[in-house]
Amino acid sequence: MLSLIKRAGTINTISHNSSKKLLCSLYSYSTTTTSTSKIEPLDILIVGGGPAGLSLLSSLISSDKLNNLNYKLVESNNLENQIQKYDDLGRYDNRIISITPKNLDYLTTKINLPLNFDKITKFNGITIFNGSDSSTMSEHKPRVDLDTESYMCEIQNLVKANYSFIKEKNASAESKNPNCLLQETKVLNISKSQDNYPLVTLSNGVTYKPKLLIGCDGFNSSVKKYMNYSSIGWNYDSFGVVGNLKLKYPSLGSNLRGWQTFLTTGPLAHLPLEGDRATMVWSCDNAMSEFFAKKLTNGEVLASLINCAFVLNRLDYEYYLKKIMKLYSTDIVNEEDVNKLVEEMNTRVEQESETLSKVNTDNSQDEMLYMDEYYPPIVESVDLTTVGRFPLKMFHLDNYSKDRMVLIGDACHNTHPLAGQGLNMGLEDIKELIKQLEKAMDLGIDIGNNELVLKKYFENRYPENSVMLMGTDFLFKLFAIDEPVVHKITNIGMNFVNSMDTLKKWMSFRVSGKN
Amino acid sequence: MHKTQIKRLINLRSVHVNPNIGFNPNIATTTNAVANNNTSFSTLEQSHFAKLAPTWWDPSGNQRILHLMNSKRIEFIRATLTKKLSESANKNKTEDTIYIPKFNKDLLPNSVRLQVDTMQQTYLDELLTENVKNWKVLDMGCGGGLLTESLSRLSMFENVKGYDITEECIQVAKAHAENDMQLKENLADGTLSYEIKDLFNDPDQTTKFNMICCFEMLEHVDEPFKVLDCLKDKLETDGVLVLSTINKELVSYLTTILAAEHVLNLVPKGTHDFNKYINCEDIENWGFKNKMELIDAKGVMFNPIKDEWELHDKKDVGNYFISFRKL
Repeated sequence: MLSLIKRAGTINTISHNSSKKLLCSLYSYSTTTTSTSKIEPLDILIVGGGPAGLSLLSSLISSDKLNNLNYKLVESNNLENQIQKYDDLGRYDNRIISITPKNLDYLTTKINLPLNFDKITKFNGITIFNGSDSSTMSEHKPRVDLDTESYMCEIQNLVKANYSFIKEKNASAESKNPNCLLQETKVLNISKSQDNYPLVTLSNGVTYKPKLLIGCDGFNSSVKKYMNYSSIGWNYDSFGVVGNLKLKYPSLGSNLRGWQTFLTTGPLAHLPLEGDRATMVWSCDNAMSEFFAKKLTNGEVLASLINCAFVLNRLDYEYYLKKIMKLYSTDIVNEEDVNKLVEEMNTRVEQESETLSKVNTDNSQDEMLYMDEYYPPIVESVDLTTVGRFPLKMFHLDNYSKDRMVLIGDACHNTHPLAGQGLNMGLEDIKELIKQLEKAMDLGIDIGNNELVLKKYFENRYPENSVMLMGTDFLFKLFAIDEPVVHKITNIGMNFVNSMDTLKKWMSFRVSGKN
Repeated sequence: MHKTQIKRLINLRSVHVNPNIGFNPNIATTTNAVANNNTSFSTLEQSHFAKLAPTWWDPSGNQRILHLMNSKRIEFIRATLTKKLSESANKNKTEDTIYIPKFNKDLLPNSVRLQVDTMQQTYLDELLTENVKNWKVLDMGCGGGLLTESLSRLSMFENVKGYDITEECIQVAKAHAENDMQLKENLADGTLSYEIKDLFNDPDQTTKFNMICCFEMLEHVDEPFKVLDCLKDKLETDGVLVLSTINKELVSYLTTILAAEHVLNLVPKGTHDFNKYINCEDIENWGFKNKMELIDAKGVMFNPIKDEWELHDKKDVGNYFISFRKL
């Protein structure tokens, strides 16, 4: 089987040199494979059953104009097992994403997804600190307060909701495609038929001939590889470390906020969940992320470091970071030293909090509330079983569509998680694609027509996605520059932005779609 | 001209990018020889469209603008049919004569407004599909079958026919439909069919249609009103006639001939002849004299910034769509 994939891969790459002879060899290849298996015509074939692929399938099912079509989704994993594992977890899963209000609106009112709202947390704004400045003054840290509403939701929550929605619809009597979910099935080969339809050979032996092939299979998408478009992108040489936090005191009231500080290694985000739970995304370099994800044995160490990163100034925080990494560099870790250091860090944070409150307020009542209002809640410990890391990259394909083929979500763009826009961009893609497909059905246009349908989707999404990707990339790089001059400029910039209400409103409108 | 030859030409076109590769000068000469003087379509025009035939189905080539217009044609047809049907539906129902105060949808919460919108849309869509499912539809002057295919793909009508006088066009249309999975089935079960037909010398006077579309054809014939009379005879009572052509005025000349053909090269040179343009008024007068009730008339113009055609209310300027109901 592996050799078959390899063979298909080499032939695909050669054929893109568009030499006629090689094109012929591709045709002959495709006919030899298809003669052994039967070809089934189909309207839409979706490859990939991640959150984007499943949401797309749910959108198709709930659209009055499109649900008469003949569609299928191919997924290599067993979703049932995946969801069972999630149900057995009994705590928050570590893969948590933010969903903007307009996208959540779409998921709940347009599709009617049975999301578990007990595990979705709404927060009303996000505060961004400049943590790259090394000044030692205990003053109000440079910050931007954005009133961006957002919802924190586990990826598995979305997957589960989609899965049960699709299963329920499939079981109902009027379902047009009762078996539209093909699980534990892989795409072995994609080729082209003589009349220009894609031929997709699956591991269950069936070859599908869809009018439209949609790739939602992420960064390593097989459809993307077949389309062979050029792209821009780079690895950030850093990793995102995720983990679930336990707060010292449960957050009170409904006014929850997200917090993010831009350190020179990358931003650290501290995002609220229900009660005394929170989640973090920390982008850091290889050594640091490996240390957090693999070497660390004590969750309180990481918790104290997060507190230091938000409250202390840069020099103090970096001093503690280095000291901890040094302690853990030996084979046998001296627990006593570690505990001592944690204690020292905690006292330092407390002291700094006190001075910050005193300097920035003029009466005792404000002084008591100052830290609660302007700084993230203190983290008590980090659940080390949930700590994991993933490589960060920025990637954008130059084109999402070809005749009878289209890409959505992570297959055509990847972004740094600092703006929390990864899945949101995918959901926006889905909305636009569904809109164009519905329009095509209304006007009697072939849904696989690139020029009249798919290209419209690409043209409407590409600029939006570019702005988002480039903006995120710019922010990441700006704060990664370790130059005192740049730090001063970013400080001034952040104070300026924070004083401009209209600009802030516009920014949060761009991100969340709501004022 | 052989079918296989045409097919080969089309296959050639899909490989090469040069738009003229499919053009075979012999095609034009044979058509000239066959054509006689008494047809609805002039010899010169026939040879022009025979030349165009192979390039018809290249949505990125020089027929791109026509492909874009096609969506607006269907949009207009849908709007016309919905307008006609909802008017007649409202006439017959007693409950609809009761006055219901209008309300502003914008005042409703977002989710409720969305629901009201979708309910309204599904009501209209159902009304449309319920009423037209037994309809026989004719696309007169179908060319490569652009509109015919779209009408057939809507799967709303009982059957869709495409008539054209140019043999090459019909062959291209058939060959293109054969290459589409859905349309191939439609061709096989007869819900989609193409015929070479000369309107003026048609022995078949019994076949009637519920809707006849005649898009961008009247400006290419010598006797447009004779064509309209023939089309009217082919229409059932209460049937719908949808037409489109170009007004005979300055803006039309500037846009369709000077800009489109000579400056921007959007359309092949020699496609339009200013003397054959017909004013919207004249068509309306023809309808009035021939007991055809006007349903809707809309101007249509190309917006190069949006890269899209747009419908507007100035029906006396540039291109226009117009629809009638036979009384």
